[in-house]
Amino acid sequence: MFVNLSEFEFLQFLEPRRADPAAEPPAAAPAQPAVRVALRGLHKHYGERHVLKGLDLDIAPGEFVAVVGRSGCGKSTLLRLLAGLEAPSAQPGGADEAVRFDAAAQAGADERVRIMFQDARLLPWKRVLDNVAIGMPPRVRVQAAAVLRQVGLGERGGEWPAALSGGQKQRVALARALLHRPGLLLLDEPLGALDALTRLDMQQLIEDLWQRDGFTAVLVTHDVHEAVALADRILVIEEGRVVLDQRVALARPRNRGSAPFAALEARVLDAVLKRRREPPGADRPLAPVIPIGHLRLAV
Amino acid sequence: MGRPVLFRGAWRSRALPWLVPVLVVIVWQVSAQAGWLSSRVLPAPWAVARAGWGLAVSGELWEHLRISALRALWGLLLGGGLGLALGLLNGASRLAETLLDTTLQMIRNIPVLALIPLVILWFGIEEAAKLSLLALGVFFPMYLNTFHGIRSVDPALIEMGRSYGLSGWRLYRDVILPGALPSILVGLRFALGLVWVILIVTETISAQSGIGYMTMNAREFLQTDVVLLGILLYALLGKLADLCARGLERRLLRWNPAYRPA
Repeated sequence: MFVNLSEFEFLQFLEPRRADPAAEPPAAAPAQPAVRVALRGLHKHYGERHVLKGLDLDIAPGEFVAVVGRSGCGKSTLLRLLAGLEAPSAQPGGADEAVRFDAAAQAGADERVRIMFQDARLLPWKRVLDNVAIGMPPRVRVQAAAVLRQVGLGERGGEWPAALSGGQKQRVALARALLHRPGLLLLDEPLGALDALTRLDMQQLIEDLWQRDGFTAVLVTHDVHEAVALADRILVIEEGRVVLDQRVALARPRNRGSAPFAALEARVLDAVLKRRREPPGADRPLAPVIPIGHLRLAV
Repeated sequence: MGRPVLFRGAWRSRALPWLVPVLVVIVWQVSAQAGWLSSRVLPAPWAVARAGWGLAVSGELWEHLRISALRALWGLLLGGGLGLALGLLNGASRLAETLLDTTLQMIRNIPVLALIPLVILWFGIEEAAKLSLLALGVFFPMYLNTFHGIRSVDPALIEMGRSYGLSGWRLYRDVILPGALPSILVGLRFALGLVWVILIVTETISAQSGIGYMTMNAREFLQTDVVLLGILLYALLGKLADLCARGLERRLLRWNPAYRPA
């Protein structure tokens, strides 16, 4: 707790013998199989405010789903319900459990599910490596170091979180989530607070790790460009319901500048902003037109 | 050239803070020797030092010091320990808070030193009386700060801990306790400050040993130098205790940039 045994040389004999850190880590905990998610009639209300109204959704194992929508549309609530941080409200019609993982009802916090929050939420009183290994038994420290190396912070393991930048803290949070080899990774606008360049790096990192491990991923984001770049499927949620379920059939690695990419992005953006796309060449004035007769002069 | 030598570099941070106290002592010694200050009002620093030396050599000084320090330590352990335990309990459990907090707040408002006559009636003038007063005085800063510390741990961190599989004792040990630690250490420093004040009063009113007793005795015999020595000893012990608390803070709160040594 307050005294980290590994910091006192003469107390080393008290710690279980650790493998040579430079050697390859022993076979890591087997990755949990990707989780299949099924939502049936998911309701959530806070008092009088109904946030989710009867959501039905199926997510195949290993799929990367992005959820976009305006603020307050319920996308973060959806993620928190999936993570088990909140419980669904009772459904009208008395349907049974609304959230099912692999056809079994969800029961509170699940071992297969990990969530990455918008802020890194690192424990400031634990060193970076201990933060990555949180919730795991001490023998996993070697694997924690390996995961930390994968996110590019291998040599920062012994530092306090206060010494890291925002982007680095989020990378540590990603390492922490991935150490558990989850079957379902939930990402709640994790890149929102980062600068544009760090965001691009992190998007690439998330995609690489997802392709390597094959977990199911649900990413909540307000950035449509990011959604099209990363996801297999984009859901637009508005007022607690799904209004668009768009499959993204572009090959990976995604070419962000290509025409199909831009077209998809525009399509999703229109759905979010509820724009009806004007036919090209439509003749409309740039500003409201006021007939001269409606003007009065005040002198 | 700029500022004079005295105000530059290492001088500034190390030597300069001592300039005023040293000057005061010099002026004091000179005034005592020149006869402007009667030795009955304020003895010369040299006389105080000589008295201290005499007592140290005879062994009395160490005996009184030891007894006073032990009393303070016991009072701190008892009252501080109880305050910590109750603070942790009430902070963690709503039920405990509802049951106990109001009562404790009512007791808090009673000035400890006003209870002296009552305590003497109950416990006499032996060690139990002193210990109970010390413990009572030290209890409340520890309790309040511990309680506040536990309650103000960042809920986002607790949520993160829960979602990563921490619960019960492990959540407490890894998230809640370290989060409450800065507040708890503030409570400890308050308690350390209070323990000396209460110790001085209790030792002055009724004691057979300890620095207060030594001071009272010296007063009877008009040994003002010993009286002054006693006061200085209290100040020294208080400073030592504060240094210990600061050291503890620096060790336990290393992770916080605000507590790093400059």
